[in-house]
Amino acid sequence: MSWLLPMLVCAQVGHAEELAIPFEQYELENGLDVILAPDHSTPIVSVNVWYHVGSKDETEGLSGFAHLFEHLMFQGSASLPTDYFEPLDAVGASVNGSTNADRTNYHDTLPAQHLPMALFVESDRMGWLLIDDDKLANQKGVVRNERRQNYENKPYGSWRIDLYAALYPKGHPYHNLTIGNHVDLEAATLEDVQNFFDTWYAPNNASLVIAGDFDPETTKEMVAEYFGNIPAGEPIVRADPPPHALTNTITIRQTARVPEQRVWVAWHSPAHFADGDAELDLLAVALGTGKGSRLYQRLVQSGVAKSVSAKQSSRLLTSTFIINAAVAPGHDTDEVVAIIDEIVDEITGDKPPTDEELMAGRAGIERALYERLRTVQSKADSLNNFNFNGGGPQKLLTYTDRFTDLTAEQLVAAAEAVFTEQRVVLHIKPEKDGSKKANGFWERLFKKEKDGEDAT
Amino acid sequence: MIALLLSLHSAVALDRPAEIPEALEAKAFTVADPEFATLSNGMDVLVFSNHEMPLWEVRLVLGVGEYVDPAGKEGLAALAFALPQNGAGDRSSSQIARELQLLGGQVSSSLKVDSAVIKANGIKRNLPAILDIWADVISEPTFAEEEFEIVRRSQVAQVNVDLTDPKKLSRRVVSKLMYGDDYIGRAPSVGSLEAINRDDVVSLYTQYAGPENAILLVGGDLTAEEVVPLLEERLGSWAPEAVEPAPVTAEPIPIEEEVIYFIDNPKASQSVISSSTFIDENGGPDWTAIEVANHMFARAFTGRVMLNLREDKAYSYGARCYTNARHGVGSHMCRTSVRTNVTSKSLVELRKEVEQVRGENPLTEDEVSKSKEALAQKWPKTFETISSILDQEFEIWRYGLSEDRVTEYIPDVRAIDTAQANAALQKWILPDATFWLVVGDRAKVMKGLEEVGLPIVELDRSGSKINGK
Repeated sequence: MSWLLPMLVCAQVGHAEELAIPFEQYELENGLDVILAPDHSTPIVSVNVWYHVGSKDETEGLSGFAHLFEHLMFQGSASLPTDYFEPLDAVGASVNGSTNADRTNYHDTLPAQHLPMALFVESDRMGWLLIDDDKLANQKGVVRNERRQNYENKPYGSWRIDLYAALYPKGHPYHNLTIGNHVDLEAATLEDVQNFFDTWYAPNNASLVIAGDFDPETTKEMVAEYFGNIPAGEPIVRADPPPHALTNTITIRQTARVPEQRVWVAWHSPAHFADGDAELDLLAVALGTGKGSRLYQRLVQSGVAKSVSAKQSSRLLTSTFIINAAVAPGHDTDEVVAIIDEIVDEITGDKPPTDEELMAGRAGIERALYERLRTVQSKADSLNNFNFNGGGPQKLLTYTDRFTDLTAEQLVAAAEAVFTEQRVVLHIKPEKDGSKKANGFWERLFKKEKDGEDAT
Repeated sequence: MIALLLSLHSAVALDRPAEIPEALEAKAFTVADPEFATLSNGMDVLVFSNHEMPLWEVRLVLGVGEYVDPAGKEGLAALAFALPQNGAGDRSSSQIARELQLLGGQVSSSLKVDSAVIKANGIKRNLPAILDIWADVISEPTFAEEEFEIVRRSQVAQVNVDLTDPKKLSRRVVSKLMYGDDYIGRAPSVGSLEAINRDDVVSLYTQYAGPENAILLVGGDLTAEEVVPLLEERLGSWAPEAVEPAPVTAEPIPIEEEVIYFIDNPKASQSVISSSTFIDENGGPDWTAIEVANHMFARAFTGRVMLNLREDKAYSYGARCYTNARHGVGSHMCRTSVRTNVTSKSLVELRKEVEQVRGENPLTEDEVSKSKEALAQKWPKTFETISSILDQEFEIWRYGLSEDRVTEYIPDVRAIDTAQANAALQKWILPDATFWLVVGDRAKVMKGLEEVGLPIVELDRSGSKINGK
C-alpha cells in the first residue's frame, strides 16, 4: 500500500521549532554536577537528583538491590530520622523516585517557596542516610510486594523478566530485571547497604537539576550550603560488561493463566545515543506505531492479531528492539512470528523505509520532546537524562537534529545489523483447563538457568 | 535495634543545620482567564493561551457516557466513540493515522461513565491540517463495518484480559456490588459486545453527538483570534439534531450488614482487597470536607492506612483510598494488594483503621491541618499545563461547579475545621454497613478470612453469587 497524501499536507510538515530552555550548569568542589533551569510560568519548583547507578551495577546474588536501596532513601536521614515524606507531604509536594537498569532518580516537586526544604532534605539523605535493621526488613517486604503486584499477580506480568534473562547471559548487567528476585532481596544485609551507599551515593556520582520558579543566585548559595560539605567518594571504576551475543534464536514457550496468546520478538540493538540508536527509533515508528504502520496493517487490519507494537528500548550499555503482538482468536503465535519476519525482511529487502515513514517518525519524536518539557518535573528529569546519557543538557535543545538527516539507506543498514537470527522469541499461551503447569516464579527461576535453544 | 548512620564521614554530620530551613516568601498564583466565543451552531468555545511549548490541544466534550448503554448492550457507547477516528469523510482508518503521524498530530477519543471527549493535539505549525482531520472525525464518521469488527474484537479481548487481572476484576465487581443493574454497576461482557451491531453504533452516535450537548475546550500555543475562525470554518455548521441524554440516575444498593465477598484466584501470590461506599457528588456540600478527611486518613503517603499496611507491617506495596467524582453520585474506594499469607490480617488492620477513625481515635487537629495544607498547596500545580487546565475546565462544565473554582478552592479547603472533617467522615466514609471484596487464592486464604467473624459470600468472576454459598 502506498502513501497517497495531498501535497498540501506534505508541504506543511515543516521543520522543528527552535527551543529556548534557559539553563546553566556548574560543578561543586565535591564533584556534584548542578544544572539550574529557571521557569517562572507557575509558582512551583522541581528538584531532581540522578545517581549514576542502577541494577546493572549490582553484584552477584544481590539482584534488585539498587531498587531496594532507592526505597531505603525514603526511610530517614540524620535530620529527618524517621521518615522522608512527612515534611514534604505537609506542603503538598509530589515526591517519588525510580530505578532502572542504568540510573536511580529522585524528585520533589513543590510550591516554589519550599525550595529550601527540598534542597535540605535531598542533601540530608545524600550525605547522612540513616538506616537500621527494622527499616531494611520492612522495605524488603514492601519491595517483594511490589514484585508480586507488578510482575506476578498480573496477566503476562513476567514477560520482561523472562525475555531479558534469555537475551543477556548470567553475569551480564542486564540479565536480571531491576525488580530482582525474592531470594536475593531477602539476602540483603545492612553491610550491603553501607557498601552500596559508600560506593555509589556520593556527590561525584550524582547530578542535581532544579527547574521552575526560583532565583538562581540565592539558590546557588543554598546548594553550596546544603550539599557543599558532603565529601566526594572514591572515583568509580566499572568493569567492562561480558559479551552478550547470542548464537542463534532462543525460543521460549510458556503457558500461564492468561486469556489470549501473546508473543514477543526481541533483538540486541545499539546502545542509547550510539550510532544506529536513532535509526532504530525511526524504524520502530515505521514498523509498529499506529494504525498506518506496516505491522498494524498486516497483523491487525488483516485480523491475525488484536494489537501490535514495536519499540527500541534504549539503554546505556546496549539496547533491545522488541516487537510484541496479542494474537486474535483462531490464530497462533507462530503465524504472527512468520508475518513479523516477513515484514522485517522487507525492510532490508525490496521495501526499504519510505520518505513518508521517515517524516512521520520525525514528527512524532518532535511532539514527544515538547510534551516532555511541559512540566518542571519532567523538564528537570529530561535535563538530567541528557546530561547523563546524551552528551550534555544542551543536546536536549537539538535532540530532533539526530533524526532530521537520517536517510532510508542508514535505516536499512541499521536494520541489517539488528534483525538477524540472533534473537529471543517468547510465546505465552493460555493454560488448558486442568493443566498442572503452574509456571510460577520458582518454576521460571529454575528453568531460566538452562538457557539455550528451545528452553521451554 | 542498632541504628547505622550511613555517612561517608560521620564527623561532618556536625556541620549540618539540624532543622529544615524556613520557607521563602510565597508567590502569587494566578491563572489567566480564558477567552470565550460561540460558533454559529451555538457551541461555546473556551480558549486558554499558553505559549511555553509549540503545542496545542482541542477537546470536544460531550455530555454523554457509558450510562446511556442500554441493558444487554454494555459497551455500546464506548464502541460508538472509539470508531469515528477509524474512518471519516473520504479518509480510511490508515489514511487518518498516516496523515496525523506526518503532521505530528493525534486524534483520540475517551469515554467514561459520564463523559465523552474527542480530542486533537499536536505541533503548533500544523494546527489547521490536524483540525481538518479532527473535524471530519466528529462530523463525518463512516463507521465502516470492517473497522467496527476490529474495534469490537479488541474490546472483547480487553474484557477477557480484565477478567483475569485481579485488580481490574475487583474494580468491575465492586461497581456491580454497589450499584447492581444501575448503569454504574454494569460492565461490558463478551456477550453484551457481541449483541451490538453497526446500526446500534451509528444510531447512538447520531442521537447524542451534537452541539446542543457539547462544549469546546481549547488551549496551547495559539490565541482565540487565531483558532476560533478555524473552528467556525470546520464545525460552525455541524448541527445534527442530537439530544441531551436523560440525567444520570443511580441508586446505591442499601447494604444491610458488613460482609466479605470473595472471588477465587488460584495460585495468586497476592490478594486484592477493596471496599467502596457511595459519597456526596463532586460539588456537593460535603465534597471538600470528604477530601480533607480522606487525605490524611488514607490518601497521603503519610496517611494512617499507608503507614500501617506498608510502612509498619510491609503487608503491601501500597494501600490507599480515593474519592471518585461522577455525575450525580460520587464514590470512595479503598484498595490494596497484599501478600497472600497476610490476607486476613490485612483485612483486620483495615477494619481496625476504619473503626478507630470513626470511633475513639478520630482525625486530630494536626492531621486535618496537614490535609488542608497539602491540598491547598498542591493546587497551583493543577494548572501547570494546558492539559491539566482543560481537565479542570472539564470538571467545572460537567459537574456544574463554580466558575470561580480556581480562586475559591484554596479558601474553601482552608475553611474546613476538624469537626467538619470528622463529621464528613462519619457520614460518608466506610460506615458500619459496608462490604469488603477479596480476590485471592481460596485454598490459602479462606481459613483466615473465616476467622475474621464476618459472613462470607463467594462470587464468580462476573460478580454473581455462587449457588449454595
